[in-house]
Amino acid sequence: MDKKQENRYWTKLEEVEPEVNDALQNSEKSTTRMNRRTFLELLTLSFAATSCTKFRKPVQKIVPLLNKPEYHAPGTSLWYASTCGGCPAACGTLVKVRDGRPIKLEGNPDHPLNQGGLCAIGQASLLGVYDSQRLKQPMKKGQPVDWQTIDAEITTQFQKLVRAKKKIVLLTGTIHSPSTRAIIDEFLRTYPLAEHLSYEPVSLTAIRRAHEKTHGKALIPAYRFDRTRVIVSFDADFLGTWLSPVEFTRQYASQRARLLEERKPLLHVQLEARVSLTGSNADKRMIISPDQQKAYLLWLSKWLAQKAGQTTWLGTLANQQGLEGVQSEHLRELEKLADILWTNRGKSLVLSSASDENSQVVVNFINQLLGNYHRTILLSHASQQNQSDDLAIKNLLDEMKGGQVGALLIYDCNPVFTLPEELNFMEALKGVEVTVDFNQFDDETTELVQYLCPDHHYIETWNDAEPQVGFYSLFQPTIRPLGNTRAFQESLLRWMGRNDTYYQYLKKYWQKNIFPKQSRFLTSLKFWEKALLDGFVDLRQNRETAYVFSQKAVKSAIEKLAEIKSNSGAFSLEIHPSHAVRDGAYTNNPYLLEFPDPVSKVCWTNYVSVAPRTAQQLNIKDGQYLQITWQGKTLEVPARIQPGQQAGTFSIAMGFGRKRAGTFGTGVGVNVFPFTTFKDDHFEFICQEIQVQPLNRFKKFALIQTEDLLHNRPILLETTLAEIDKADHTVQEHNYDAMVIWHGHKFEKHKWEMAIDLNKCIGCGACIVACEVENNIPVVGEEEVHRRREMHWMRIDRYYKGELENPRILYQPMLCQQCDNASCESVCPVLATIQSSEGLNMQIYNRCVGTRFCANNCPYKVRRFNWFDYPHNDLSANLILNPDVTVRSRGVMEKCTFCVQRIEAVKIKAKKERRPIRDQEIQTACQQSCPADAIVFGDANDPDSQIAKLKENSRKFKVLEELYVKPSVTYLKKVETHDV
Amino acid sequence: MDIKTGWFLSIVVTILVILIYYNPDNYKFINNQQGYKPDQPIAFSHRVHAKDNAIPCLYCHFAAEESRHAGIPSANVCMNCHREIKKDSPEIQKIVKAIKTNTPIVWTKVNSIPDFVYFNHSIHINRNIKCEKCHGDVASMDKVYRANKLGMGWCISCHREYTHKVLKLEPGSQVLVDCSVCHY
Repeated sequence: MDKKQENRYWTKLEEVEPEVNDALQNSEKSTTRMNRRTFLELLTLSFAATSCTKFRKPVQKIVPLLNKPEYHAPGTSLWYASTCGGCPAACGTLVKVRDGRPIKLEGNPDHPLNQGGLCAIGQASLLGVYDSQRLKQPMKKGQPVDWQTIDAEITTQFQKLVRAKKKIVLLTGTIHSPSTRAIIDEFLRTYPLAEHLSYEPVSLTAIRRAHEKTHGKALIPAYRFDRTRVIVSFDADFLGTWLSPVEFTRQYASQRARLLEERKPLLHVQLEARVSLTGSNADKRMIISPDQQKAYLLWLSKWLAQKAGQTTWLGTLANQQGLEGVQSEHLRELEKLADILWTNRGKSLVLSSASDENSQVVVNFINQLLGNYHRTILLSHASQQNQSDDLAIKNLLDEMKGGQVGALLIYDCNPVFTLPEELNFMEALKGVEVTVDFNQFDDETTELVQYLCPDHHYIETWNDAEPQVGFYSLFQPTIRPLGNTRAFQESLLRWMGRNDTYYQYLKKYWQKNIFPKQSRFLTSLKFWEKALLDGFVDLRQNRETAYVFSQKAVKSAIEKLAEIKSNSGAFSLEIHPSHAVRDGAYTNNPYLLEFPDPVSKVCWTNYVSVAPRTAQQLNIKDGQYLQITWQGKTLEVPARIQPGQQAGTFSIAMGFGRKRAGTFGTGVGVNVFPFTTFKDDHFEFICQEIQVQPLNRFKKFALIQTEDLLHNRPILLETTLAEIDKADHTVQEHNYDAMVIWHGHKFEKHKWEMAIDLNKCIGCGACIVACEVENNIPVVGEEEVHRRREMHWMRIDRYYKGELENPRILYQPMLCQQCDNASCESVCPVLATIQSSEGLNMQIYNRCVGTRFCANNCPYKVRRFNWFDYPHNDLSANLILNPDVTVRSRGVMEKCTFCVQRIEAVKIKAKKERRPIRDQEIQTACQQSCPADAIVFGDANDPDSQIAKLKENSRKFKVLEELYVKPSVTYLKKVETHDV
Repeated sequence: MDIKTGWFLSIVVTILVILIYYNPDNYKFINNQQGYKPDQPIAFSHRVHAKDNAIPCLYCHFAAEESRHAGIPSANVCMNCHREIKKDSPEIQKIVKAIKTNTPIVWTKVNSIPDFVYFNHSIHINRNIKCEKCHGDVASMDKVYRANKLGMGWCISCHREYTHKVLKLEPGSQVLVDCSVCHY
């Protein structure tokens, strides 16, 4: 070997020892037959070559319309004014229809009730129209039949029942539609023994009856939170589930903002056992057990009556015994509260969720003493949003059992699931010859009825609503019915022997009954067109009618309340409507199942809330199953330790544990309806003296938020009314010696920024669902949420502050902060997330390779990773997808984009019209739906814009400002009130 | 089998396969569909319409001025003229049949971009970008093919070169190359 060879690098033995190499080659040559390796080489070559010819794009088909309507270009959206059918509150909506399919609901900003806001249920209810499990055709005993057969059979059956002198009963949910009521009235006239009953599982019967007693009119008044200075609510969750939450939230938040401008507080005191959404927003929460409510009401009425000098006619009030129930530590606070109420006469509001009439009479008495009627409580705008008479339902069941009812027509309710077990609806139903259900979905009730006559989804049908007397709202169909369904009203018309469609009837009804009430339009056609365009007609009377307040009713109510003694000591169970699925009507809606409870942040199940003290006493751990026994009934339900919960009370949300809800909702959570009872004249949702036994089983909750504390970091800041105008010292100024990669981006044209007012935000979470629907965000399921893999781009962080027994609860919407010095941008190896020239932190899905470095480096934890290709195999449900937003695939990071598709759309529109973008022309989905109007989005480069002004607000702060990531989201501090 | 024969045979087979399946209409380079020229259900000639009869593009592609999509003309647009002209042609009869049987005509897309790209026709038309700039000289095509690559580099090259001065935009307006202009 020469020197050259010695210095050579070698890698194989053959290279240094040529002999070995030759030997190897010889041995190979000796086999001229094809060996395994050559075969594979050849195979690979021919495979690669063959597949080369096959590289072609899958052929895409494009199908134009045969006959294009004049007003529509494919790829553009049409907006129709309609009404939300999610709950009986009847908020006004604008339906975004893209190429023939509704894809998004937005609150109608001109609608006087919701004024642009729309709750999570309203947003999510749109998915129902595309639900592939919807009942698509009429059925008889489980077999599909056609409408003619059903009509013929039912009419003959009805005639038979008329001859046999048996009752035909219509059991419906709240019917706030005036035209439907007219049809029902006609139906009742056609069949003389027919009867109509409204049924809501959680009724406000007591308020209606109390007003009948005190004011002589059975009605639920309209509440005006926007005229109040003091609100005292006894467990009424008016921001969450009570009567008309969106309307009330808008009034409440706007009043807060208005009073803040004047540097005055809006004092809200909530007296409750569970931590409701409303209670969590109160300035003062007084924790009382449900049965103490009566004593507190009595105490307050006594104090106020003394102030008003009205004790003479209320002999009993002076020395009643019911006052014992008031906790001694609350006495001073109550006195102060009574003083504040008295000084704010006519500007206060006292509410109660009590389902017993006497308590509500006392509430009316308190409001009467405070002079709130005609000011914050309007009788002329009586609410029609909850109509139900508990006693009538009980009587109906007795009649059914007695065989007097020949036919039961069930519409928009699920009595088998929601009625108390002791009433035994299933047994009673057997005594009814003809049973019909108009439900759109298969549920516990549809299983037991003979005829299924599915109604349209509210998006597919005409309808109207009168949520408040004199206020009319219109529904219009925005898609053709997807199945062979028929409007409930039309079914009734057929069975009355009439052939007109519901649309014809509705139009005629409006022409005959509503058109004459107004004087603005001379022709009914012009009136109808305007109503259709606006979506509503406001003909409410602004003149209040006089009434006589009956003191007699108050006296007897107080006497009755004073008799009741509260049983302190024993545990009680309180059943309340769920924030997400209410009474169970939405338990199969995946958006709402994954929608966390605003306070506990648990999703995909219900649970029993336990006070920390009780948990310690009974040695209960978070997630531990409890066996709750009451009157021979048992329930096994996981416990959630809830700071702020009343120590003796366990609270469970209703609506879960459905046996027949559908793929998503069946078997989720625990059904608590068996624990409800019928007591005196109402449904009772409180069980006294329950036994609780911890079991040795645990549940892992699917939690959207796992850290409850702020750890003294400046994430959520508060201020007080006194300090609001003082210079800001809370945010430390830093000397940034740290190396910064960027030397300041230049945003020459636009700078998109957002401001969130924490004093307005109530944490209801409407924005979460609005964002999901707008941005095609997948629902991942309980197990994945438990693994912290939920995909919500927007979340609402809830923090506790202060003592464990009664903490202050604070909410903070958290979304991508679109930082200018974004920490995610600096770590992306493929530049899939970079800064745009308009201040957006862009996320480019097709560039992303899924390293997840960005999510790790994000201080706000708002980036979401697609761990899977979340199923999009339900072709029907896919129709809700927004075609303006990419459906992300597996392995891609995603996050809030400030609704960049909306920004681009408005930019294009403005450019085409050769004009600058107007302030508030671009609205993000969260901003649009926010019932509290807490979110403002805009161009901070425009000095006249709202956002530019809010950025200079004295309450401004940025989350984790000291990190110098320069977020584009400005938060406005919450204002703490210390008045009580 | 001899190794040499094996190689020879496999190469022959590969070439044969390529010759049999190679179709210049649908293959150029991977992910580049330039030259793609699919068959359409109706033998519609853009040359006859746009060149010989000088019908403006936007007469049929009505949506291009207001929407993201340019729009394939609906059958009633065809029948505006063809109710009178060449009524008996078998190709026109296909449209008549589609209308009578209420079955829409299924065309094959020639110029398409991936689903994660949001191209908006209306703003380009509004800024006086001629249809030919992207679609090529469609007026001379009997059967339409894809004249350009329609890849991102190709888009960006225009966005860089067309400054607001070239386009005579109002002051402050700019042609953007931000990712979020097309990707969201």
